[in-house]
Amino acid sequence: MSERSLEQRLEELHPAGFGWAVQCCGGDRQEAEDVLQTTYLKVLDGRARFDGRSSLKTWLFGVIRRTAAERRRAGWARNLLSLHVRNGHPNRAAAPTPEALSGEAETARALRLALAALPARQREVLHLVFYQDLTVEETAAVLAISLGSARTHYHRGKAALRERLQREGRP
Amino acid sequence: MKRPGEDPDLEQVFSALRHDEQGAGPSFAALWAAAEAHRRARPQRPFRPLFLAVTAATASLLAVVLGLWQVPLPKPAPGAPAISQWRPATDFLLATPGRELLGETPRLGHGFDLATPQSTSSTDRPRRPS
Repeated sequence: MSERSLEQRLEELHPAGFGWAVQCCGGDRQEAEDVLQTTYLKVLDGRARFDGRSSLKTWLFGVIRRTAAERRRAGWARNLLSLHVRNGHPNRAAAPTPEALSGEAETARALRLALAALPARQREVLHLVFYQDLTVEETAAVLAISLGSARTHYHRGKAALRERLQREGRP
Repeated sequence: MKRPGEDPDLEQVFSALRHDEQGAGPSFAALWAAAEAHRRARPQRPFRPLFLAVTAATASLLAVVLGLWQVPLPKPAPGAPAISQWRPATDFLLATPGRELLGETPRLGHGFDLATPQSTSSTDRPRRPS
Protein backbone atom coordinates (compact mmCIF):
# COMPACT_ATOMS: atom_id res chain seq x y z
CA MET A 1 0.00 0.00 0.00
CA SER A 2 1.47 3.34 -1.05
CA GLU A 3 1.81 6.20 1.38
CA ARG A 4 -0.82 8.20 -0.46
CA SER A 5 -3.42 5.42 -0.47
CA LEU A 6 -2.68 4.69 3.18
CA GLU A 7 -3.29 8.34 3.97
CA GLN A 8 -6.62 8.20 2.14
CA ARG A 9 -7.71 5.08 4.00
CA LEU A 10 -6.70 6.65 7.31
CA GLU A 11 -8.73 9.71 6.44
CA GLU A 12 -11.78 7.53 5.85
CA LEU A 13 -11.24 5.85 9.21
CA HIS A 14 -10.49 9.12 11.01
CA PRO A 15 -13.95 9.71 12.59
CA ALA A 16 -14.11 6.13 13.85
CA GLY A 17 -10.52 6.36 15.04
CA PHE A 18 -11.28 9.52 16.99
CA GLY A 19 -14.28 7.84 18.62
CA TRP A 20 -12.10 4.92 19.68
CA ALA A 21 -9.38 7.28 20.91
CA VAL A 22 -11.96 9.11 23.05
CA GLN A 23 -12.99 5.76 24.49
CA CYS A 24 -9.37 4.78 25.17
CA CYS A 25 -8.79 8.11 26.92
CA GLY A 26 -11.77 7.78 29.25
CA GLY A 27 -13.78 10.49 27.47
CA ASP A 28 -10.98 13.08 27.41
CA ARG A 29 -11.26 14.62 23.92
CA GLN A 30 -8.09 16.69 24.15
CA GLU A 31 -6.08 13.66 25.14
CA ALA A 32 -7.79 11.68 22.36
CA GLU A 33 -6.61 14.26 19.81
CA ASP A 34 -3.04 13.94 21.11
CA VAL A 35 -3.26 10.16 20.96
CA LEU A 36 -4.54 10.25 17.40
CA GLN A 37 -1.81 12.69 16.33
CA THR A 38 0.84 10.47 17.94
CA THR A 39 -0.67 7.50 16.12
CA TYR A 40 -0.36 9.31 12.78
CA LEU A 41 3.21 10.25 13.68
CA LYS A 42 3.99 6.59 14.31
CA VAL A 43 2.59 5.73 10.89
CA LEU A 44 4.63 8.48 9.23
CA ASP A 45 7.97 7.63 10.79
CA GLY A 46 7.51 3.87 10.45
CA ARG A 47 7.14 2.93 14.09
CA ALA A 48 3.73 1.51 13.18
CA ARG A 49 3.64 -0.49 9.94
CA PHE A 50 0.57 -2.09 8.41
CA ASP A 51 1.60 -5.57 7.27
CA GLY A 52 -1.79 -6.71 5.99
CA ARG A 53 -2.27 -9.49 8.53
CA SER A 54 -5.57 -7.93 9.63
CA SER A 55 -7.89 -5.28 8.29
CA LEU A 56 -6.58 -1.72 8.31
CA LYS A 57 -9.25 -0.72 10.81
CA THR A 58 -8.32 -3.49 13.25
CA TRP A 59 -4.63 -2.59 12.94
CA LEU A 60 -5.26 1.15 13.37
CA PHE A 61 -7.40 0.60 16.43
CA GLY A 62 -4.70 -1.58 17.95
CA VAL A 63 -2.12 1.18 17.42
CA ILE A 64 -4.47 3.77 18.96
CA ARG A 65 -5.09 1.55 21.99
CA ARG A 66 -1.35 0.99 22.56
CA THR A 67 -0.56 4.67 22.07
CA ALA A 68 -3.22 5.69 24.60
CA ALA A 69 -1.83 3.17 27.08
CA GLU A 70 1.74 4.47 26.56
CA ARG A 71 0.64 8.05 27.12
CA ARG A 72 -1.33 7.02 30.18
CA ARG A 73 1.72 5.28 31.66
CA ALA A 74 3.91 8.27 30.84
CA GLY A 75 1.34 10.53 32.50
CA TRP A 76 1.37 8.42 35.64
CA ALA A 77 5.15 8.58 35.73
CA ARG A 78 5.07 12.38 35.32
CA ASN A 79 2.47 12.65 38.07
CA LEU A 80 4.56 10.54 40.38
CA LEU A 81 7.63 12.65 39.70
CA SER A 82 5.88 15.96 40.14
CA LEU A 83 3.54 14.73 42.90
CA HIS A 84 0.77 16.20 40.85
CA VAL A 85 -2.69 14.95 41.79
CA ARG A 86 -5.34 15.09 39.10
CA ASN A 87 -8.85 16.04 39.99
CA GLY A 88 -11.60 13.58 39.14
CA HIS A 89 -11.50 10.00 37.96
CA PRO A 90 -9.59 9.56 34.68
CA ASN A 91 -12.05 7.00 33.36
CA ARG A 92 -15.09 9.10 34.00
CA ALA A 93 -16.91 10.46 30.98
CA ALA A 94 -16.42 14.12 30.25
CA ALA A 95 -19.10 16.36 31.67
CA PRO A 96 -21.52 17.46 28.95
CA THR A 97 -22.07 21.07 28.11
CA PRO A 98 -25.52 22.42 29.09
CA GLU A 99 -26.50 23.26 25.52
CA ALA A 100 -25.90 19.69 24.43
CA LEU A 101 -28.36 18.22 26.90
CA SER A 102 -31.23 17.60 24.52
CA GLY A 103 -32.46 14.62 22.52
CA GLU A 104 -29.61 12.66 21.07
CA ALA A 105 -27.09 14.44 23.23
CA GLU A 106 -29.03 13.48 26.34
CA THR A 107 -29.08 9.84 25.24
CA ALA A 108 -25.35 10.02 24.58
CA ARG A 109 -24.75 11.50 28.01
CA ALA A 110 -26.75 8.74 29.69
CA LEU A 111 -24.83 6.12 27.75
CA ARG A 112 -21.49 7.67 28.69
CA LEU A 113 -22.42 7.57 32.36
CA ALA A 114 -23.62 3.98 32.11
CA LEU A 115 -20.49 2.93 30.23
CA ALA A 116 -18.25 4.70 32.73
CA ALA A 117 -19.64 2.49 35.48
CA LEU A 118 -18.75 -0.73 33.65
CA PRO A 119 -15.41 -2.51 33.96
CA ALA A 120 -12.91 -1.20 31.41
CA ARG A 121 -12.76 -4.39 29.34
CA GLN A 122 -16.54 -4.65 28.99
CA ARG A 123 -16.68 -0.96 28.04
CA GLU A 124 -14.04 -1.44 25.34
CA VAL A 125 -15.73 -4.53 23.89
CA LEU A 126 -19.15 -2.88 23.74
CA HIS A 127 -17.68 0.23 22.16
CA LEU A 128 -15.90 -1.73 19.44
CA VAL A 129 -18.93 -3.90 18.65
CA PHE A 130 -21.75 -1.35 18.83
CA TYR A 131 -20.01 1.96 18.18
CA GLN A 132 -17.44 0.78 15.65
CA ASP A 133 -19.44 -2.10 14.16
CA LEU A 134 -16.58 -4.56 14.54
CA THR A 135 -17.27 -8.24 14.92
CA VAL A 136 -16.40 -9.90 18.20
CA GLU A 137 -13.52 -11.65 16.42
CA GLU A 138 -12.11 -8.29 15.25
CA THR A 139 -12.67 -6.87 18.72
CA ALA A 140 -10.62 -9.68 20.23
CA ALA A 141 -7.82 -8.89 17.74
CA VAL A 142 -7.84 -5.16 18.58
CA LEU A 143 -7.73 -5.80 22.31
CA ALA A 144 -5.23 -8.66 21.97
CA ILE A 145 -7.41 -11.04 23.97
CA SER A 146 -8.84 -14.47 23.18
CA LEU A 147 -12.11 -14.84 21.33
CA GLY A 148 -13.66 -16.64 24.29
CA SER A 149 -12.69 -13.82 26.62
CA ALA A 150 -14.11 -11.24 24.22
CA ARG A 151 -17.41 -13.15 24.02
CA THR A 152 -17.65 -13.29 27.78
CA HIS A 153 -17.05 -9.54 28.13
CA TYR A 154 -19.55 -8.92 25.33
CA HIS A 155 -22.42 -10.84 26.96
CA ARG A 156 -21.74 -9.64 30.50
CA GLY A 157 -21.26 -6.08 29.28
CA LYS A 158 -24.56 -6.06 27.41
CA ALA A 159 -26.44 -7.31 30.46
CA ALA A 160 -24.76 -4.81 32.78
CA LEU A 161 -25.29 -1.89 30.37
CA ARG A 162 -28.99 -2.70 29.91
CA GLU A 163 -29.46 -2.84 33.65
CA ARG A 164 -27.79 0.54 34.14
CA LEU A 165 -29.71 2.18 31.29
CA GLN A 166 -33.03 0.85 32.56
CA ARG A 167 -32.19 2.14 36.04
CA GLU A 168 -31.83 5.60 34.49
CA GLY A 169 -35.06 5.24 32.54
CA ARG A 170 -33.39 4.63 29.18
CA PRO A 171 -34.30 1.77 26.79
CA MET B 1 -21.52 -13.46 16.60
CA LYS B 2 -23.37 -10.16 16.56
CA ARG B 3 -26.31 -10.18 14.19
CA PRO B 4 -27.77 -6.93 12.83
CA GLY B 5 -30.94 -6.07 14.70
CA GLU B 6 -30.19 -8.41 17.55
CA ASP B 7 -29.87 -5.61 20.08
CA PRO B 8 -31.80 -2.66 18.63
CA ASP B 9 -31.95 -0.84 21.95
CA LEU B 10 -28.19 -0.79 22.36
CA GLU B 11 -27.58 -0.03 18.68
CA GLN B 12 -29.83 3.01 19.02
CA VAL B 13 -28.08 4.50 22.03
CA PHE B 14 -24.63 3.87 20.56
CA SER B 15 -25.73 5.49 17.32
CA ALA B 16 -26.68 8.60 19.29
CA LEU B 17 -23.29 8.59 20.98
CA ARG B 18 -21.55 8.22 17.62
CA HIS B 19 -23.35 11.21 16.14
CA ASP B 20 -22.66 13.27 19.24
CA GLU B 21 -18.94 12.53 19.35
CA GLN B 22 -17.86 12.32 15.76
CA GLY B 23 -19.55 15.53 14.70
CA ALA B 24 -17.33 17.58 16.98
CA GLY B 25 -14.06 15.75 16.33
CA PRO B 26 -10.88 17.30 14.93
CA SER B 27 -10.27 17.25 11.20
CA PHE B 28 -7.98 14.61 9.74
CA ALA B 29 -6.03 17.18 7.75
CA ALA B 30 -5.15 19.17 10.87
CA LEU B 31 -3.89 16.17 12.84
CA TRP B 32 -2.03 14.69 9.85
CA ALA B 33 -0.32 18.01 9.12
CA ALA B 34 0.64 18.39 12.78
CA ALA B 35 2.09 14.88 12.78
CA GLU B 36 4.11 15.61 9.62
CA ALA B 37 5.43 18.85 11.10
CA HIS B 38 6.41 17.01 14.26
CA ARG B 39 8.25 14.38 12.22
CA ARG B 40 10.20 17.00 10.29
CA ALA B 41 11.15 18.76 13.52
CA ARG B 42 12.55 15.59 15.10
CA PRO B 43 16.19 14.65 14.54
CA GLN B 44 16.72 11.90 11.99
CA ARG B 45 17.30 8.40 13.28
CA PRO B 46 20.69 6.83 12.54
CA PHE B 47 20.99 5.12 9.19
CA ARG B 48 19.95 1.57 10.00
CA PRO B 49 22.01 -0.40 7.40
CA LEU B 50 25.17 1.46 8.40
CA PHE B 51 24.44 0.77 12.04
CA LEU B 52 23.92 -2.93 11.32
CA ALA B 53 27.14 -3.13 9.27
CA VAL B 54 29.20 -1.55 12.03
CA THR B 55 27.69 -3.88 14.61
CA ALA B 56 28.38 -6.95 12.45
CA ALA B 57 31.99 -5.86 11.81
CA THR B 58 32.60 -5.35 15.52
CA ALA B 59 31.15 -8.75 16.36
CA SER B 60 33.29 -10.43 13.67
CA LEU B 61 36.45 -8.73 14.90
CA LEU B 62 35.70 -9.78 18.45
CA ALA B 63 35.16 -13.40 17.35
CA VAL B 64 38.46 -13.45 15.45
CA VAL B 65 40.38 -11.98 18.37
CA LEU B 66 38.87 -14.48 20.80
CA GLY B 67 39.56 -17.36 18.37
CA LEU B 68 43.22 -16.46 17.90
CA TRP B 69 43.88 -15.79 21.52
CA GLN B 70 45.00 -19.04 23.13
CA VAL B 71 45.52 -19.49 26.80
CA PRO B 72 49.02 -21.02 27.40
CA LEU B 73 48.75 -24.40 29.15
CA PRO B 74 50.77 -24.77 32.36
CA LYS B 75 53.90 -26.85 31.86
CA PRO B 76 54.14 -30.11 33.90
CA ALA B 77 56.61 -30.23 36.72
CA PRO B 78 59.85 -32.11 35.93
CA GLY B 79 59.67 -35.77 36.98
CA ALA B 80 55.87 -35.86 37.21
CA PRO B 81 54.22 -38.87 35.49
CA ALA B 82 52.28 -38.36 32.29
CA ILE B 83 48.51 -38.39 32.68
CA SER B 84 48.22 -41.41 30.33
CA GLN B 85 50.43 -43.48 32.60
CA TRP B 86 49.06 -42.46 35.91
CA ARG B 87 47.13 -45.02 37.97
CA PRO B 88 45.15 -44.31 41.08
CA ALA B 89 46.20 -45.90 44.32
CA THR B 90 42.96 -47.92 44.52
CA ASP B 91 43.22 -49.29 40.98
CA PHE B 92 43.90 -52.82 42.29
CA LEU B 93 40.37 -52.95 43.74
CA LEU B 94 38.97 -53.08 40.22
CA ALA B 95 41.08 -56.13 39.29
CA THR B 96 38.37 -58.65 40.27
CA PRO B 97 38.60 -62.36 39.40
CA GLY B 98 37.04 -63.24 36.04
CA ARG B 99 37.36 -59.70 34.76
CA GLU B 100 38.90 -61.11 31.58
CA LEU B 101 35.56 -62.71 30.65
CA LEU B 102 34.09 -59.28 30.11
CA GLY B 103 36.86 -58.15 27.82
CA GLU B 104 36.00 -60.32 24.79
CA THR B 105 33.00 -61.74 23.00
CA PRO B 106 32.40 -65.45 23.71
CA ARG B 107 32.59 -67.80 20.67
CA LEU B 108 31.24 -71.27 20.26
CA GLY B 109 33.88 -73.99 20.43
CA HIS B 110 36.52 -71.76 21.97
CA GLY B 111 37.32 -71.31 25.56
CA PHE B 112 38.49 -68.18 27.24
CA ASP B 113 42.13 -67.45 27.39
CA LEU B 114 42.43 -67.61 31.15
CA ALA B 115 45.52 -68.08 33.16
CA THR B 116 44.29 -71.47 34.40
CA PRO B 117 44.58 -74.36 31.92
CA GLN B 118 41.42 -75.18 29.96
CA SER B 119 40.08 -78.72 29.85
CA THR B 120 36.97 -78.31 27.75
CA SER B 121 38.18 -80.48 24.87
CA SER B 122 36.62 -83.95 24.70
CA THR B 123 40.04 -85.52 24.17
CA ASP B 124 41.30 -84.18 27.45
CA ARG B 125 38.43 -85.63 29.47
CA PRO B 126 39.15 -88.77 31.42
CA ARG B 127 37.58 -91.70 29.66
CA ARG B 128 34.88 -93.60 31.39
CA PRO B 129 35.90 -97.16 31.86
CA SER B 130 33.90 -99.33 29.47
